[in-house]
Amino acid sequence: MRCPPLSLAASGLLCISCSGADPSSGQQALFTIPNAQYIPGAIDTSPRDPAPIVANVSAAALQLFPGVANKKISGSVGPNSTAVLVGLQGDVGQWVVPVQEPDVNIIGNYTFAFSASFSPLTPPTGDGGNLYLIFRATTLDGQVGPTYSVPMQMDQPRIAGALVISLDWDTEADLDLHVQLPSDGDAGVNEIWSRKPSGLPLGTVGASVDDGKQAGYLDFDSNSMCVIDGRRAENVIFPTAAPSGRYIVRVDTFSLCAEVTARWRVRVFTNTGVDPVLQAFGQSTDIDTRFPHGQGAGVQALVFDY
Amino acid sequence: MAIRARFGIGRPQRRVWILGLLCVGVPLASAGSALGQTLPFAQVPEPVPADNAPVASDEPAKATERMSAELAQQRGELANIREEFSRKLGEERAAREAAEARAQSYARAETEAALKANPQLARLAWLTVSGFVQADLNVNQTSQDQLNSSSGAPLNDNRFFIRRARLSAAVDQQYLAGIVEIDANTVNGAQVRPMDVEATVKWPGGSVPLLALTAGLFKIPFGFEVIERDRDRIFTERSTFIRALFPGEYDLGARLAGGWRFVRYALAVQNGEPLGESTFPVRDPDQAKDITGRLGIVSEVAKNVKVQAGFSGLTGKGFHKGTPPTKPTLTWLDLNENGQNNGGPELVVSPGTSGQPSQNFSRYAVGADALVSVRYLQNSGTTISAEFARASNLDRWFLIADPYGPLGRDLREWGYYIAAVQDLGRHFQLGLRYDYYNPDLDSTDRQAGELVLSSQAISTVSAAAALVGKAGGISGRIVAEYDWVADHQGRDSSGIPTDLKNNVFTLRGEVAF
Repeated sequence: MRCPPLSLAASGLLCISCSGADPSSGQQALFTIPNAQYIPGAIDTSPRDPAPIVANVSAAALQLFPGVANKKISGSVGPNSTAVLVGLQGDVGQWVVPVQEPDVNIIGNYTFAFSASFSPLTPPTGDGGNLYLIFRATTLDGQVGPTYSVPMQMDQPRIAGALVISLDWDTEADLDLHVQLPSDGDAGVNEIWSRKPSGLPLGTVGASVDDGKQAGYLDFDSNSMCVIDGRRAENVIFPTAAPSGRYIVRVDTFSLCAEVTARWRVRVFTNTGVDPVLQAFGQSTDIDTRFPHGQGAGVQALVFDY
Repeated sequence: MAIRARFGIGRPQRRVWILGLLCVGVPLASAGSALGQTLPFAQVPEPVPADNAPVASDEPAKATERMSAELAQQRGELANIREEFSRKLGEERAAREAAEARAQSYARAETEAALKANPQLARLAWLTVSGFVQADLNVNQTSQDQLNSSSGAPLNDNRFFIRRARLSAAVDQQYLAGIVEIDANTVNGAQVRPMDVEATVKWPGGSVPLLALTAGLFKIPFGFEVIERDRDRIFTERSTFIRALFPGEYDLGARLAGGWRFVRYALAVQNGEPLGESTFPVRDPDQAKDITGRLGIVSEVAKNVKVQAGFSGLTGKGFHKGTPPTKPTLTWLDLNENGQNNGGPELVVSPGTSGQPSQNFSRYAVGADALVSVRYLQNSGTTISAEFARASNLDRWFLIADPYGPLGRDLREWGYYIAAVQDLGRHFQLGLRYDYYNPDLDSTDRQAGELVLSSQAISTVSAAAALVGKAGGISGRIVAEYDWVADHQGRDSSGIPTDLKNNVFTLRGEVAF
């Protein structure tokens, strides 16, 4: 069995015994299954044994985006199966998923199920392209059944809207997106941020929730007050139309939540596009948390006319 | 050997003899050319062909006589020089020993005077300060440049770190003894913590009293390896089952211990949350206490043959953490994974639940240990030790036992080890140990849809070699250890539990004083 490369010369001693399962967590793979056994090396697709077969595989949706987590996948494998080898075609590793219960729908078969994640580094397939998730059932005596391929489309996540201003960052800090809307005469500054998540002017009465959304809205206040949600992204969305004029986009570092730094990115999308029409990058440090955090707070990331 | 016999010089005198020879030989060698001018063999004529050989005369015989006389004279001179050198060496040694004795006497007198003058210093006379440092280089097959996705801890274990750095201050008068030991390490980041804090009243005084009552933070008196000092053990860590059942070895409580002739006993009442326990280390979430005891013998059954054996037992209560009450929650499940809230079955209402109270559960352990140590030759010896323990719900480190946890049943543990340590003279030591631990004798695994008995046992073969040295009151050791670990923590391509590649190499530098 191949020995893993280890950084220290003394580690050569460890290859005295190279048998056994690989201890790697497999986090470097594009396709990962938490708590499953990882096997380095791409899943083999060459024909081997006629059985056991993978009868079916089901997933709620096969339209995915890089970074999607907890993707639930289940299926059924033929008689005598003890496990299923699962891997993304061409990936650096594959996974072993033991079968669970007898399949009540297909007598003799066994079910399997797992939650998987796709790395943010997974390359998008583009229009018409596919990634293939490969399944092969195995038995106790080492038989490896035929390949079962599941095509998937991997696309960048897109947020529907005529104008979308998006902020995301890389650590579990509490950053806030502030978008100052074009000036509306004497109405004063109209800014969308976490304390005023709608673009409706202050003092507006009788507006419905839908009215509030149509005026532009902040979809989420991520990691608010350092209650970590892991999302690390906020968007100001104008679903159908956005007012014309000059927009000022700021990033306020409310708290680093014990992180040392947070690198952020602001992007502007139009007409539900995949590629941003504008983008800016920056980094928050502790000094950015010392300023006021109300309306108008934050460092200016972008100024643009729409 | 022949030279020693000829000059009557024993092994301890070898260095003096060599020195003497050098003193005599070097001047002789340097003067060789001058002496050679007078030596007869310097005048030996060039060899001539046989057919031209001169007529025989008495000249060679005279030359031989002269050479013999010269040689006898030189031997006499050499003997005189040696005698004079030995005499001077003896005088120098006597003078040096006398000077050392005077210096010691002076120092003793000065110390006594200082102690009389200052009562605070007088107390320090009873104080013994000791300590040791164990700095490790670890190379582990499981290492990887990633973080644990749940805890965020680094998964790399190929690293340098301070395993133990202990500083201990101890006092031991006739009826009272005390110790304070602090441990510093960088195992999980830099930390400093109390390790051994004991206050003891004993009767009668001496190293093995009949009765010694101790309170504080001390080792759980179970078996041999828990009690064994870290600085004495050649193996870098204790056996797996000892670490699982008694993580951290130290616990708070009170102990009655002592001995009579070859019998040793110890009985302790402790909190039951050792220093290395993961949830409440050296705290005590329950009122029940663990009672641990050991009854054994220590005897030198023959000259240079020491035997030690004992039986141990533990009974106590473990603690299952309850859960706090929860508020009603509304959860959105993206069943069709379209990223939008479609209502209906995607919205799940979870009613609030009342909290669950904490519960206690019973646990116990029984064990036995034995050790035989044989000393032979000079500074050589062999020590063989073995120990086993059978326990229930006592694992507090490897597979933490909780009968009210997800398994919903008692966990029965079983472990043992056998070890041999060979001392090869004063500077080399070898150790070999096999240890086995099964944290759940009733473990099951689901294979092909069926529940089957499986094993979570882990066995380790540890081979260690040490280079040992001493200088004054300081001892040092370099230990290289390789651990072959066989377990069932991985899965093969058929989904069956199999050995995980997790062998470990450790290189340790140790200094103790």
